[in-house]
Amino acid sequence: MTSESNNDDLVPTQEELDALIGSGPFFYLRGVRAALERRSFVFKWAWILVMTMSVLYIMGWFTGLLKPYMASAVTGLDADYQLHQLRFLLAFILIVIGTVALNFDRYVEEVFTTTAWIQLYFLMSGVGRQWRTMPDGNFDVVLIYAGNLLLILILLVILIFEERRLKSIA
Amino acid sequence: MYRFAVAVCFFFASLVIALFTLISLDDSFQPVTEQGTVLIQDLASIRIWIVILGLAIYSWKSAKGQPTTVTVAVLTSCAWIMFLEDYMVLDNVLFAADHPLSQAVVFTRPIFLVAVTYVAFKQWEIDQV
Repeated sequence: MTSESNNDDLVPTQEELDALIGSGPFFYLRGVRAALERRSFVFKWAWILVMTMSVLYIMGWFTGLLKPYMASAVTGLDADYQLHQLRFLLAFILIVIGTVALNFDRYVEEVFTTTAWIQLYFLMSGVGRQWRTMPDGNFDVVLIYAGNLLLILILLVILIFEERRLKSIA
Repeated sequence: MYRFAVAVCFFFASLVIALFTLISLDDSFQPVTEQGTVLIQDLASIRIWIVILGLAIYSWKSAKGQPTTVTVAVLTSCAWIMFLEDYMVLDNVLFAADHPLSQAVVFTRPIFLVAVTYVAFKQWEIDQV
């Protein structure tokens, strides 16, 4: 009997458990909506645009609309196609990481800064490759390709600056 | 350990700069596959600038005593992405050439990736303090 009552004393109460879980920052899931409500109008719309572009990109990829505009369509090399596939996957992993950071409202600026630099690498190497392999008179394809990547990069830069502004106000 | 890991990163960067300079200047440098020949000029010319700029920014910030967490995190992410591009997709076309410098880069790359990842986490810890 005595040992049983001792064991009962060691069991934490619900309030204690809530306090323990609540104090850990990684357990504090806010949700994207709550995280966006804390932020500015510009941040919110930049985020929505990034997500919309991602969805449109997925639709374009799986319906085959994007294929004629890719470097592999011009060069015919498997490596170009594989490179695009890998970058496509990496970009979506980065979007997932960004969404998770926003959900937990932690390291948002750091995550978007890293994503923006990686996007810059994709932009420079991708456009450079398109430029070198481009057949005569296909300048508009390069322009659309560069414009698309540049728009994502600009949106990411807006997200970083808006996040920095929010931090400076808080 | 931290200083050793930073030294490994600098050593690898110097090897990569030497290799990419060789690729850019010497036409006789031939990768083992045809795809590698086509891709090598495009990617190497961009990567050499990433390595040089990354080293310059990190060195400048370290010398000034500024936090380098984000810089190291960005460089580590880029290093892993380039590794994935080279080994998992491009089937080693960029570096699998029969040249001692190229072999040295291939051999030291896994060590560099471990070192740079360690530096990124350690730097985070240092800057938080």
